Amino acid sequence: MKLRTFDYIAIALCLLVIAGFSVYAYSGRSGSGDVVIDASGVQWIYPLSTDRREAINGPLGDTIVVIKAGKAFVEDSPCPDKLCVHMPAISKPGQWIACLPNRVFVRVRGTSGQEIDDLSY
Amino acid sequence: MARREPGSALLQKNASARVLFITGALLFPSFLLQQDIAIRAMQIMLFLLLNVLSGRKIRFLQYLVVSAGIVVFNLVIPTGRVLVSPLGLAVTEGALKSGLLKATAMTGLIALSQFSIRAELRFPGRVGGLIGRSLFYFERIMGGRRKINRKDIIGSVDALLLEVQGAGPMQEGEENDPDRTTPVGLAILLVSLVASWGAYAFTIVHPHPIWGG
Amino acid sequence: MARKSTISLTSRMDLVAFMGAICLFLSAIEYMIPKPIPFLRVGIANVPILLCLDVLPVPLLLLVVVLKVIGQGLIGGTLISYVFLFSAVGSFASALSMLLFRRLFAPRISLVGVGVLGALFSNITQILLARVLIFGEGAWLIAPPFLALGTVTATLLGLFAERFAARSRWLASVRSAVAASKAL
Repeated sequence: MKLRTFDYIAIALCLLVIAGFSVYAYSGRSGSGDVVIDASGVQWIYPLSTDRREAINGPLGDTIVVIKAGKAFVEDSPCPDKLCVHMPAISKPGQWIACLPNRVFVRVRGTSGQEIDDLSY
Repeated sequence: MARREPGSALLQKNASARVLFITGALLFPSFLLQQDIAIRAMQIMLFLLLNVLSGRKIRFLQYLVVSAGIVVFNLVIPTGRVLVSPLGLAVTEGALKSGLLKATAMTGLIALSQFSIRAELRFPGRVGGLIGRSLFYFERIMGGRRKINRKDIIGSVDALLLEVQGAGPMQEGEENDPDRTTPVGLAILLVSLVASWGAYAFTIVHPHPIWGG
Repeated sequence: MARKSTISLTSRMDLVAFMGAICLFLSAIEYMIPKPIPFLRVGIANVPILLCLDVLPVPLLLLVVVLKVIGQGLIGGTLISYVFLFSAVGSFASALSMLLFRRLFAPRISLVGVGVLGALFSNITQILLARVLIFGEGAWLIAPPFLALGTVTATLLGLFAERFAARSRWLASVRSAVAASKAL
């Protein structure tokens, strides 16, 4: 049996769709990083892609970390200097915000697995 | 596979296909509405017990593979507190809970469905009659499946279909679901319903989950 | 070469029920094929739908799909589970897309092309459903191998369906019976 014109087109379309899904699934998408929060020995991880508001408990009280529209920032913190609240929102791997008095450290990590190692804290 | 004879299991002898189906349909929301993973696990135990009572073989390995697969896929997107990180892969609380919630929904509904759906279940109306007819022909084809020859699949399947089709249409009255529901069967199903809905009522009155939700 | 005498099914509804029964028979065969992952399907139960595309009018074809889906739910006992939802959504997506492409490109597309596109649409809708119901964002990871496997099996099934359609005396008898019932 011989394949006809639209059989080849159909198979080509499938290969194209598979290629598209592969690129989407296996390469890092923009805004696909994770927010990693460390506070007194406990770690939290949240995807940058989902908006949320988390209260992270430290020795002085709750530091409020907000993820909104692919960016993370500290909305409020019980520390006296409020440095972390005034730091700009972070969205790229390697960027960070620290709330030293309350021992909360927020950073952005690349797509799961690709840990950025050039940070030391 | 579809079986015609009633079978010797307790719920096969003491409950009709229709009563089992109604029970399953009533249990369905009490399971899906339940967001407490610990209670869901208990409900799954109940469904598996009802499977045993219905004479269904439980494929534990399949349940395990499916559950593990669903949990692993949900862990891919970390969300929440890191519980452990074996081999550098973080297992987060939120992702684990959402994975377990989905895995229990998937496997629990299979368990629920497997005991409450019997092949001889018939629905009323024209479509119901058509389904019964289809299952009747299905059993006829199944009866001749040994005639299929691996060396000439097309030829032998063709011959089988011609033969089964030539055997004539289904006669009325060849299909029925005798009502063999007894007080024993009814009691088992009622207790299951009360337990499952009771657990849901408990989570409403007492909204602190045992785990998850 | 239709032998009219072989048709003894009394009505079109009997024919629909019989087509549904063949789908169920092939599901039973599918169930016996050993697989590494429980929900993987070769898709052989869709071959009758492929063969019926040119034979049955659209409403009857969709009725065969209904019988296939509900029958599988009854025999496998999965009628009130997610498995049923996946099966229903996948079956209708493939049947409707196969119908559409067969009608659009009829002489210039064979059952191979039609089957491959049916598998593609069926698999994409099932992946979307899996993303919502069971896997979350992780569903995208399984999409490429799932779609690739579907394309391969659908190509093979399409080739088989073409050969079967060319050789089958049974299908020829069904064709002539449907044509005769239309003529009445």
